[in-house]
Amino acid sequence: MTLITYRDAVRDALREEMHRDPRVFIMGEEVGVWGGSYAVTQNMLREFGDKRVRDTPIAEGIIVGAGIGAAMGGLRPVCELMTVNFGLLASDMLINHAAKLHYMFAGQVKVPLVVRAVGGSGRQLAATHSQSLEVLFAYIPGLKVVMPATPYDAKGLLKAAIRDDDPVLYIEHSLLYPIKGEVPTGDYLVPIGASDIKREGKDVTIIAWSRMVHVALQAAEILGREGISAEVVDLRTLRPLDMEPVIRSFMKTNHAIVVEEDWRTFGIGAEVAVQIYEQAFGYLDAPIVRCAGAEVPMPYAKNLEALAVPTAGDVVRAAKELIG
Amino acid sequence: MATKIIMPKLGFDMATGKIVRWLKREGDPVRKGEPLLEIETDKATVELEATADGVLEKILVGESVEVPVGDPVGEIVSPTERNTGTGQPAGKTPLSAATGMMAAPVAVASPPVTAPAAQSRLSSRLDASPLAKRMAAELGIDLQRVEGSGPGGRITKEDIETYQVTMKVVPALPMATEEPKVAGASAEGKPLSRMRQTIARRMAESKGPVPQFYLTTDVDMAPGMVVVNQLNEAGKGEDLRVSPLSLVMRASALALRKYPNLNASFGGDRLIMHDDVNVGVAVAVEGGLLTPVIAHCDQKSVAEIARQTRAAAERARSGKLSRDDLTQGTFSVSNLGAYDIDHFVAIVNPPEAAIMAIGTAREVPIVDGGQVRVSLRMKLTLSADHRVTDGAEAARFLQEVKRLLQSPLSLFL
Repeated sequence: MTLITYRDAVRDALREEMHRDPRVFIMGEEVGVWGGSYAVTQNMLREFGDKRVRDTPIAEGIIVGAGIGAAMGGLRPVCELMTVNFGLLASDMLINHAAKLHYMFAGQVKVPLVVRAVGGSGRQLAATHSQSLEVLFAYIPGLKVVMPATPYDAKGLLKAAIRDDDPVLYIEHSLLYPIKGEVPTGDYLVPIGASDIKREGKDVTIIAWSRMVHVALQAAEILGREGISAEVVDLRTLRPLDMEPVIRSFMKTNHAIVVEEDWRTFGIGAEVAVQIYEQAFGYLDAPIVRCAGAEVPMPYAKNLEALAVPTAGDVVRAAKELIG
Repeated sequence: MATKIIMPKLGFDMATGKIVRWLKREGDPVRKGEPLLEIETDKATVELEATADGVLEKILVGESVEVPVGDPVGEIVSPTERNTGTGQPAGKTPLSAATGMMAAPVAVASPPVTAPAAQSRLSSRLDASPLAKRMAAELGIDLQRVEGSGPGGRITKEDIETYQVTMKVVPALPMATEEPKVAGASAEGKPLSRMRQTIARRMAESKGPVPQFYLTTDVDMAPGMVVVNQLNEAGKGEDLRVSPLSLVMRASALALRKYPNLNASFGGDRLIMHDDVNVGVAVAVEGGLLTPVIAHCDQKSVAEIARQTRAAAERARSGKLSRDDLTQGTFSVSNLGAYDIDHFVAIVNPPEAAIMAIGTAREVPIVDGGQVRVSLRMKLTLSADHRVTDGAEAARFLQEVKRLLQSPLSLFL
């Protein structure tokens, strides 16, 4: 095991897969000469050359469209979108093409495409560049959406995404790049579509993904000191959504809180909650609580931005109210 | 397959149960969790619920008959089996017609509805969490009797668990057939809480049928307090709080090993000797008291007993005791040492045979070798069930407890 950052984990996954499989290549805005907007692809141009590390014009539709074509033609492209907000420009490519081709051509073509993007808020990038849009894509059958929270999951899930024959949207979080975690030295995969218990507990189940997993863990730590034992489930993949660990945990704790950076109404938390209602109604001891982002365009002002996103304090308060 | 209705064991001293009355007749449809019959044990009358949906096919044991624990008293058959089993078209000929008994056809029968109960249920919607509803159905608890502590009075899992602990059985003894008339008392009175009802019933069960006798001794606690202080000093890091209570629990447990008759229960025609030494500790809580049990006190160190007692007392005060905490006691202690009580007499907690009451340790003048000197003394009073033990044996037991407390290192052997 080595202790590396989330950023290094993503880079290592890309490098290892490119060494392992000559069909893997990366493209995106400033991934080559500049080394990536968040320095994920630093030095990769030197290591792999400009055929496999390709800088593109600022045209997200073309980045993903070209990626789809390359994937159909037998390559395994990893496209980088500077942020998931620009995924809106590529949404026709993602939703109407990447997600549908395998189905509409009766399985004759596969689209083994990975689109990497940065999501979430916290860097004062204001309303258009601070969104959590995962729900838009997780809504689409035919796409897979993964959102790792730790270096271990980041590396293992990206490798699994690159080896997957379906299009995968891989959403990173800019505030997670510097966090460190233990990662095995050898090759390993984290399966897509497998939620993970990040902390065991017995009184309340806290469900989160991406950066909110860390908020949930921090809350669980505080609650633990006050005698409330919280279990934290990291969804890791939003589609296909693995509810089994959530349901198992809920059957034990009978209380659930979903912590989500995205907006509450129509958000992922709503889906998670309703699946609990459907699958574990008889285990419900109180309504399921959502700690979600404020329903406003993300403010630019630092203090207001901080108020718009759930904090550990919010989760602790919600848990105390829930447990009583 | 038919589901057998078995006479349950409702306490470790229960050997037989008497059928008071059947609430259903043969051929009646029954639902899982619905009361089927009332049984009387030596302590209480309890309702026995159906463990499966179906039809009460057979009543094997009639009313007023006593049967051993584990014996079948009836059978429930699922409606489908009932029909296919006879080889008859569904609902045409009830099986028990063969025995000459009338049985209601399954298709038209519905559980009898008592109008007032049904109405009260409808008029005020019962707010209970889905989990609480499911638990109540499984345990056969009537949610109308459970007090909800959740938002807006919602009944939660915790409420069901609390209810289960405080009201394991339906009171057998009529509480009061005639209300005492007291001048100036309000007409309605104050309804008893579940806990108060249970305390009332259990204490009446003790003082009434259990002939008790009482022995008091006076223990020199000076050596014991040295040990208590040293242990607390040594356990400062973990906030260990050993008290004379912990010593008395340990000493009692060791003495019970030596005098097993006091670690027994009266079983009608025999004594039930308990293998384990499990000591209950009376804990005052809001509105009454609870007696969480510290299991295997003879095998635990003084420090461990102190830790577990403290944790159990905290659970008792926060209403978090589980059923395990409250059952399987074989002896009890009651400590009023903190209340400046010289000595007192506790009431035996049935089916246990004895209880030890602990007074306040205080400095008093004593005569020692013709000289008056100051000594730290604590009074212990043992209450014992005279059906189980006698004065001399109880006195020897108490002497042994005293000996252990006065040479406290023997508690660590």
